[in-house]
Amino acid sequence: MSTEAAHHGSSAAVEGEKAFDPKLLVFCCNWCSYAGADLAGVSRLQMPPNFRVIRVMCSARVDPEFVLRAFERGADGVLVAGCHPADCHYIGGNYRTRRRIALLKMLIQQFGFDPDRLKLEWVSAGEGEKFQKTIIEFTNTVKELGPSPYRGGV
Amino acid sequence: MRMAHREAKIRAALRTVDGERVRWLLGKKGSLTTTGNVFGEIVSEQRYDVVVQKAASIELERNMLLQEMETGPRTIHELHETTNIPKTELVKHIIALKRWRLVEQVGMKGQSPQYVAVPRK
Repeated sequence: MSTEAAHHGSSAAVEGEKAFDPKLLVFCCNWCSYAGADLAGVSRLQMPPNFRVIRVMCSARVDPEFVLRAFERGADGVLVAGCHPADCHYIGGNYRTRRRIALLKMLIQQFGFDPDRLKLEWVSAGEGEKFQKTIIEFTNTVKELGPSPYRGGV
Repeated sequence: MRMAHREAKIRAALRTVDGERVRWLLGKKGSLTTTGNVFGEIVSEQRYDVVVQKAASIELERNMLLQEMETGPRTIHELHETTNIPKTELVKHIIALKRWRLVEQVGMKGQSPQYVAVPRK
């Protein structure tokens, strides 16, 4: 191995140790948050590229199993974004989500996860900037927490 | 083995979320912390969080035990080996589950009683 190759190899190893790219899963409701995410995109607002969006018809569609399976399969954080209270397209879906997420935050602690790895946020269709801010904050929070316990973290 | 344990825990968590106890507690949050219970006793937010947290963890453990006992009769020692729940806690759970007729004693294995989950209606 040449000196340069050795240097690149060692620096890559150090980079790998230093940089932790969290895997985030974002559930967006079709009527508000997904449109908000879309607005953030077309407005070219800069965000970390660590998240994947799953569109659901309502935030209440997010079954507790989805969240637990996401963590089981290696997600470092899960964000559920829905319409603001009283703005739900299905009248009261987001109220159900709020209760469900409160319970899930308690349950994931039993699996060794920090409750901050799960977040609920209200984002309306016109709040592209709020979506961007939420993603940046959540990414930073998860980066501080480190990899998920199921991926070898603490 | 570790994967099987994780899967069992996830299924127990899903049963906990669907369970009456935790759902009731979540549904009553508003009234318990503002107007109070039937005796007019108001529960503080912090106290409420502690109660729900405790209920969720107990229900999770009990559902794990029930799942295990649904597959066949188990002694306390066997349950401890598969679920890693301390034996002292296990005995408390079994007493509570017996009281609610969710498990029953079906026999003895050596000197240890064996318990099995009562089929759900």
